[in-house]
Amino acid sequence: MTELKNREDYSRSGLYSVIFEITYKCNQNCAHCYLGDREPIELDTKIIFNALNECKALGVKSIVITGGEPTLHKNWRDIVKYALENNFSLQLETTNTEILKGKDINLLRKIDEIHLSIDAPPGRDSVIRTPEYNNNIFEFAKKLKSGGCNPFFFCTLHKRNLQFVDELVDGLKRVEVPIRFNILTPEGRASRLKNDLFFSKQEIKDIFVRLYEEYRKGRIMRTRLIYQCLVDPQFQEACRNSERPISGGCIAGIASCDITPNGDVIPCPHLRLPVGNLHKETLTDIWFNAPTFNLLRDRSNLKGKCGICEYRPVCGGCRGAAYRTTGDISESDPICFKEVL
Amino acid sequence: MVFKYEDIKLDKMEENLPSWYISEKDFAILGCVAN
Repeated sequence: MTELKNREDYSRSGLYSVIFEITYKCNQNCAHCYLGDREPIELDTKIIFNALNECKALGVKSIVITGGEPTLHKNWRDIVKYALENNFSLQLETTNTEILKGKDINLLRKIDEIHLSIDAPPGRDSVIRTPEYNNNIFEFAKKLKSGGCNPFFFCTLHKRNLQFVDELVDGLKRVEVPIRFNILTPEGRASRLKNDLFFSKQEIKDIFVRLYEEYRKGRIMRTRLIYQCLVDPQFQEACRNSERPISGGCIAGIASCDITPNGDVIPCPHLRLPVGNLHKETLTDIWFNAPTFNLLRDRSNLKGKCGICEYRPVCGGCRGAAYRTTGDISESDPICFKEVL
Repeated sequence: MVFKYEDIKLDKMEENLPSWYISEKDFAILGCVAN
């Protein structure tokens, strides 16, 4: 394990992106929410401002403000303004179409990216959410776009909405809103979904090959999951040229961390293992000294097929998936489809 | 400031970079952030 050190020992922190889950309050009740069912608490605004100040000192580039539904936090506008004043690249994740009824468009326009979630083209039933939801969020995106904002979509793929990928991509292309795709995984409420919604490894492989082709044609954004290295020559080239033990892939605890509404600091929204709490410690102390972070930062700790994989420098597997299935963050990633290539 | 791949210049390597440090370029093209 990496020896614990102080901030002063390094010229840089390595921390690029911090996700602020500012509240668990939500306007939706999505069947696949990775958070599961949570008390509708919100993160103390002073804690948020202090953490943003630390982020600035640590050299953080990107702040993601999410929830729950972040615009249900009573001070969400002040939080957004403060992040903007401090020159972070700011991303807001929302499904609250009501915010366009006021004067918030002027604030939303200053945000670098507004992340929206969609499951299927307007009018289509995706099982996870209603056709009305897909209609409303599509119209919301168009209004944001015409109002000078920069929306883009995430779509979580499962067996019942895979058939809509082309229609969805074509529809969004017409309104010039980009999209990227993720794969449904059994976490949070999604762990209660029927098994027939989840893909087999062979199907995940086929999807990634297809998505990579769509990305190459400029029809979609690059997928965000780590398995891109298995199908994307750019990743494989980066791996061959890597001079450092880590040059990409899972960045949980390496270049990113997540702050939850109770002040816990966790490696990633999908690795909900508290490593410290901002009510008791500073983000800086946690970032440099949390043993779990230091474990994640040394991929020689990885076990099983992740430990011996040639793509270890640019991948590292999903530590959240490993932890959910084995209770050990260093175990093999159970989602990886390398064996069916 | 918008954090975009096109704007990123390769970092000058320094001796006291933390062992887990990845370049901004690698972060931008290879990172895996939350859903």
